[in-house]
Amino acid sequence: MRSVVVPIILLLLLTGCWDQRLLKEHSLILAIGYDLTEDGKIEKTITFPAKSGGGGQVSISTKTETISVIANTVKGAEIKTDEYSPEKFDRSKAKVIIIGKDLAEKGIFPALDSVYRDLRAPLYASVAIVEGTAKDALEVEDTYSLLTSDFYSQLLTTATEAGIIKDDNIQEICPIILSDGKDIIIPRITLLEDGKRAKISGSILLNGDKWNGKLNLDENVMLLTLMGEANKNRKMNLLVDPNEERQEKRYVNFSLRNEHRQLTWEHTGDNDITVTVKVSLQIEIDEYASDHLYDEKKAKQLVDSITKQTEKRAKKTIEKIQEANNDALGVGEKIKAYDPQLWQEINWKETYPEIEIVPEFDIEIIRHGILN
Amino acid sequence: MNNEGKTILSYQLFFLLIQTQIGVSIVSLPHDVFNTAKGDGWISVLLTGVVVQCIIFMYMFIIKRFPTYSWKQVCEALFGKVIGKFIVLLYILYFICLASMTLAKYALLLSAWMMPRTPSWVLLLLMLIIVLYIVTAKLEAIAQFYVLTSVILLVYIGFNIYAWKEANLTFILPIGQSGVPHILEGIIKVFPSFSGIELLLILHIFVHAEKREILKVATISNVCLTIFYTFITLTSLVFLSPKELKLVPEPVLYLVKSFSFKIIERPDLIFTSIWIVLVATTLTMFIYATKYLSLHMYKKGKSQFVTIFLLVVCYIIAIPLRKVYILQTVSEYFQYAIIAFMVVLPLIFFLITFIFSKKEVEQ
Repeated sequence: MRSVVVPIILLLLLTGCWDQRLLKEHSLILAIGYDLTEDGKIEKTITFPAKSGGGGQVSISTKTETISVIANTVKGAEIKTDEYSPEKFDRSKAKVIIIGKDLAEKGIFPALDSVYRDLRAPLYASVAIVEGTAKDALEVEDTYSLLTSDFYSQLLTTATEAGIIKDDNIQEICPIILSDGKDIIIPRITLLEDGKRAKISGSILLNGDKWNGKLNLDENVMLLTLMGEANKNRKMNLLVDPNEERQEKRYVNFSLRNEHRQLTWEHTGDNDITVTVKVSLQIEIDEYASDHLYDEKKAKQLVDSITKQTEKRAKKTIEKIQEANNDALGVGEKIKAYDPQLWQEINWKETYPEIEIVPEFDIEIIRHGILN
Repeated sequence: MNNEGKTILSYQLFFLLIQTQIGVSIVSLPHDVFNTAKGDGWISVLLTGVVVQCIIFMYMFIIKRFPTYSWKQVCEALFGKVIGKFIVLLYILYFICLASMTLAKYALLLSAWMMPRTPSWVLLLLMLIIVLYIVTAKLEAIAQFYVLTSVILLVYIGFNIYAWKEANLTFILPIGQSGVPHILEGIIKVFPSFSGIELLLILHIFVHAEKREILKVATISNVCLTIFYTFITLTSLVFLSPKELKLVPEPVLYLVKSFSFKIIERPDLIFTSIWIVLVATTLTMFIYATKYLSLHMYKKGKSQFVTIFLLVVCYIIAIPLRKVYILQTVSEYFQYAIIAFMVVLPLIFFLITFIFSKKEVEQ
């Protein structure tokens, strides 16, 4: 009896599965782009590797195909995509989500709702905002013999490793967008040569979930430093000797080896809040054509001018983010946590652009390569 | 009376209690408590631990007065035959409801998080088959199984420790922001997560140890559980921003979902599978308690048939409950039932025992 019943039960229970999604029936989308059309609808562009070859052999080529559909919502566009394709598209493995300028200006959060709600959503996909439309971005021609989707995700990864942008994934941006005292910056992509090529050009400053300003790469690096996002590969290039004859000798290039940031604030008077961002940096000189770094005096001079220049750049950066009402430094968050009384009194969104933020740098040269 | 004898050891009792208490609601605990106590939810959890500790002392007082009596005998000794039996019946109903609620929530969560296309009655059926298999074993074997499966709690702790690298402490600062009333209200929300401790009243006669030892074990298990819950809650509170936490009903799963490793891309699937074991252990103990009490009540009936009958009852109750809003409303009311059976009824027992200095009659 048992020898019959047990195999039958096992056969019934172990072989079937409702929740199967076979790879052969799906086409994986690795990059998705969302745009807002002029009449307020969502245009979704997807790119996927083109399958080539026949006779049962399918080889993945480096060619990609794109499909664009327009629908009322993001999920609506998803459903519509199925009308165009013999295979079911699966976005759960997407590596990058690109958002067009128009959509970013209107706010990105409603468009991402379905991503947060979906069980299989690609929460760890990177997000980037393109100056232009996401559709154009996904149709770039020159991708250095990579798939378009890989191109963007690797572009973002490499830039993050180099410390020039902060590549937050979908999950990471959510708590920041939803918090009161902090705002997000999202990598910015610019299209060059009539949409033939693309590059990272800095970042978009979001106010809440809306595009409200932008930074170039130099300022972005400065902002990341002010945010205390430590990265050992981050480099800066500064003008220190404007009077030198030769162009190369005017500049210094250095890497940031150790960073330490401290944020303090003082509440003087009604709405006068002065925030001091104190950053201690240990740097390594990468290029300084004027040499003479064996002389401590000369080195000190260099440190002084570096400090002056970084502070100048920092001030400019801070001016820009305040103008965009983007509290990327998380000042509000700190005040809310450590000075709740003050937080109760003020309306942060209104106060923030008015407050004074003073950057202070404490720079120390710890190495100068193998040359003096 | 107790035909199984003193078969479980004190360390097994520890795991038995912990595994019963950690159940289906662990994944939603931070959200539930956040809704009332905001960023101070973890304080509510800690305070609940303290309250439960007092309850344990109360239980132990009753147990010390009736060291060899079964739960039914205690009820009858305190309230007389008729009312005593009625109270036991109430407890049977309570455990059936507890099991059904657990089942319904389990089906709902599993459908949402892992198997959206599998009909949830199948999920329930499969779960009940597992429970049937475990619960027909001897208590000793069940306890050993619980000791074995406790390893998975380490996975929970591991994932949560990993989440701390993205922690943002400002989400819970300033401490005490939501005020004392909200923190105290939060205790009520946390209580269901501690349900299962009332099994101590029933199980103590099976433990091969002095009563003092049982108290020690129950205390240690409560301390561990409180720390565990506090840690889990705290992790979710610092990982998800307040507004986000409001939107996410199962923050513990959500937190794991946002990780991705080189080898495992969807760790939440593994995490959910592990969670199924925790649900099974909780359910098994509830069904075991029901089975034990009903067998005692009627003294006849084959235990196998009684178990199957009880499981079918749970199944039938759970089926209409597995819808988001229905379950929400029912749980809202049921949390008071939990408090009634965990605190109020034992408190009456305690008072009667204390005031009339009732004691076990030597046979």
